[in-house]
Amino acid sequence: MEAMQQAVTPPLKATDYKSGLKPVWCPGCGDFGVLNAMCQVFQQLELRPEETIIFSGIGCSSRLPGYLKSYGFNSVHGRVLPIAIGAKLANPELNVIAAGGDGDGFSIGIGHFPHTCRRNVDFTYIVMDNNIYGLTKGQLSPTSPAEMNTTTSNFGSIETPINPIALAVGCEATFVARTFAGDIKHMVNVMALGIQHKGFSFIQVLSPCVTFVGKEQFVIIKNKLHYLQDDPEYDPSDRAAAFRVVDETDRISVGVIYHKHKPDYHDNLEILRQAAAVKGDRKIEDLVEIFRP
Amino acid sequence: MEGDELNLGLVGSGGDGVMIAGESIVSAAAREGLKCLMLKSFGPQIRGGESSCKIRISSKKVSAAPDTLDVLLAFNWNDYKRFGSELELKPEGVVVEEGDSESPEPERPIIGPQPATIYKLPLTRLAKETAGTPLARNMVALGAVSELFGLPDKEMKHSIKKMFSHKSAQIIEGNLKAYQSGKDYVLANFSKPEKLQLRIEKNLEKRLVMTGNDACAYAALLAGCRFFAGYPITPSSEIMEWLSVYMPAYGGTMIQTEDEIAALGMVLGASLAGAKAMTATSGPGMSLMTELLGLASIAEIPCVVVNAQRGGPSTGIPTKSEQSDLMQAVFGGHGDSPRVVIAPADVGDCFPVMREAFFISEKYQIPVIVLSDAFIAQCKASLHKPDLSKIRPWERARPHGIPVEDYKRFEYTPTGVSWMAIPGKDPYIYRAAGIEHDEKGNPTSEFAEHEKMNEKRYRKLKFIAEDACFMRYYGPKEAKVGIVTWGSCKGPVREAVEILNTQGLPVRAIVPQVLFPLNTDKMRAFFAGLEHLLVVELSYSKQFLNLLKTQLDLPAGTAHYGRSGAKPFAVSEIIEQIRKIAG
Ligand SMILES: Cc1ncc(C[n+]2csc(CCOP(=O)(O)OP(=O)(O)O)c2C)c(N)n1
Ligand code: SF4
Ligand SMILES: [Mg+2]
Repeated sequence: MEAMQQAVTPPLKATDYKSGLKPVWCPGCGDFGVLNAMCQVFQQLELRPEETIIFSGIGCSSRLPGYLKSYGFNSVHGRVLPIAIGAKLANPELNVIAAGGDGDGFSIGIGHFPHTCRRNVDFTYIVMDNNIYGLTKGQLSPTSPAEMNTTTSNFGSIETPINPIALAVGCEATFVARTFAGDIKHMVNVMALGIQHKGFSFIQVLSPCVTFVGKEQFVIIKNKLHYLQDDPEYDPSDRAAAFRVVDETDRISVGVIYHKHKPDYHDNLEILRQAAAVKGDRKIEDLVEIFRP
Repeated sequence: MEGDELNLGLVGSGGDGVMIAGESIVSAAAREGLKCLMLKSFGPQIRGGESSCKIRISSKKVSAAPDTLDVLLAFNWNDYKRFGSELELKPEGVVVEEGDSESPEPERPIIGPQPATIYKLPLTRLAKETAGTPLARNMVALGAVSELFGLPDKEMKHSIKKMFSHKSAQIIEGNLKAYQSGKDYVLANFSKPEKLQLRIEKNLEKRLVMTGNDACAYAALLAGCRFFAGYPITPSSEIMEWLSVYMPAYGGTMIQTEDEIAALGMVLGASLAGAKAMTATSGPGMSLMTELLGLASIAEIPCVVVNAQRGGPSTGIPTKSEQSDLMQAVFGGHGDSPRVVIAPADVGDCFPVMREAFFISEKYQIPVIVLSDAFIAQCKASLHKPDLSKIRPWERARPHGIPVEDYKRFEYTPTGVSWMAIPGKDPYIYRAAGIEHDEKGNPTSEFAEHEKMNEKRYRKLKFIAEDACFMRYYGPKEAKVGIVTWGSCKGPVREAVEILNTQGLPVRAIVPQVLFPLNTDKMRAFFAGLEHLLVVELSYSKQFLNLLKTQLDLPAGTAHYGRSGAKPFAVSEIIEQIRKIAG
């Protein structure tokens, strides 16, 4: 990083984290809030754009990396998690963030989610959950509530939606949080905790699609919010308590729902490398001797 | 056989120790400096089912598996039935089996020529007497085979010791005694078949033993690969198994993923972050990787994907070789997505091919598919120590000396290659995308930008065809009969060419290894002066022939010989086809 050390590195303002590219999102879309919150978090945590990379899949939400000033990769639909894992494992010094939509993460890409949780690689996954397929113009999503009308469920959905929080807690994710695109301050706090968490952190952001679900979502969600940080009884290290939160119907709890300290993938990998090192105690060229019968 | 070589076949059930016996022979041959090749074959049962192996040993060249056998060692005739057509004897061939003068004649379901001689040994009795267990039957048989056909005794003993080195001294002793009892029994009861004595040149340099999968894995490590993600699949799993030991030993990462999509996904993420990264798979996994391969193509991310081909489509024949993933490798996926396809032609060839794969992918920022096959992947070969000094990591070109604002990740350049910054290492931030983009990486849906970007990405191929062309040539330049083939078909074709030339029919062959982009100048130069051309491949739908046609005009009257895989070409089969076209 010689070039970077020479460069002057003045503290950045939150707005310095915008790439300058104009978002294609509809006016009022929840994703604007997420973008703004991320800029503030980056500024607060003083993440260097050169040392930070945002990965995403495909969807309205997955356009995010283009609007942030850092390294970024807008990849393909549903594959953001393995791509982010590869990058973090190749360079553990990088700040890695993955982002995407509910369709991206819980329909086409859901197969990667449990494995990402159990591997506990140190990065943050932000799902902008709008209960709909935005980019493809309003089809049913795996998180669309039962009976929801969409362009592909014209008589109301007859399927049970996926509960991303339940899934994450069930799959042994070590940091599980929920926040709301209408509350920037809360998003910033939760995202900061998630990024600072050592291990995999999953954050569900309720981020309304004003075009295909409706802007009244902001109000509906806001009226049901229950802030866990205001609840002195709530203990995020209690898994049973976390499971009670996922079953709530009368209110929507936001904040850190579950949190657990555990060695991350890289810690375990380092131990494994130490154990394997005895096999690599010679020049790679000399390893050829193992093929001598 | 004329003394130059010995072709052995072994067949039995799980507990018979067929593979241990086979591997002992290969190890001994390699230590003696002999050329040797072993091909394994298994029945459908996961463990304990029928298994067989074919071994070819020679002081001279060995390039193909044996067509037919000099010696068949049958531990169990029932098991033979499954492999019959793979284990045919030569007219002079002999059989070694369990039994003695008292025991009734077993039913021998032998296909093809019947054995000239049958050597019966009380394998089980001798094993019990010497090693105290019938499990040592294979060692008794090894002793017998070694004595009968002149295998190198000292090295055989060494191999056996090494094979059981993780066991107690008592077990090693027992196995050696069993081996000796087989030898002694032969000495006391039979005279050696004079025509079937392996002639061994003295003082040959000791050789190594490895499979194509071993070679691919090791060569990747040498080429600087430090990230491997993969999902188990026959016949390529051993690459990841090998790397699971040696990748972390050298500070790298080997991770077993939830599926092949995740495998290539992780590889792309790791590569974007600066690591030399690869995955290995077979047909079904390759199909799953297709979408991400296109991503590597448009986002210009270096990566190496080894596909050890098996019989297809779908699950097909997992354990057997075929060359039917060629079109998928070159053209698989949606959109115009350039990639490079290279094929090793034998086990040793995996070294230069893997070196080339990493070199091309890093230099040109393009996905490279290494099309191995089950034959190369699984075949155990004795080889001369490869020249490892030639396998050096190649470092990709990174931006430097320009203002950060001026950096264009996808800049149009004369070669199509643009500087690739590494996150966390370079200040030149950029955004990559699977969405079509301009030079800066910003999304676009304009025709003009798309056309220019396609042109940029395809422009690389022109340079690769020259930079990384390697071809193998066999036979005299002036021959008027030519053959084009690829991959492991090189073995039988090369041997057929050599035999025909000694028989007075001049034939030459070319084996292109960079199959896409093909160096068409070199191909045309080879065609010059030919009167007959034959394209040879293991694919029912003529994939290689069709691929050649997409890249150049073949001479009028070009003939084709191809068939399904699951059985490698016999040398005699190729000779027959060449004679047919050469009149
Ligand atoms: C393999 C594949 N299938 C389908 C699509 C089409 N597609 C693009 S985005 C999308 C769903 C987007 O929904 P979501 O992930 O929730 O993101 P949102 O737009 O709502 O933010 C679909 C189906 C695609 N790009 N790739
Ligand atoms: S379609 Fe919905 S999710 Fe997409 S940008 Fe518009 S409001 Fe946002
Ligand atoms: Mg959505």
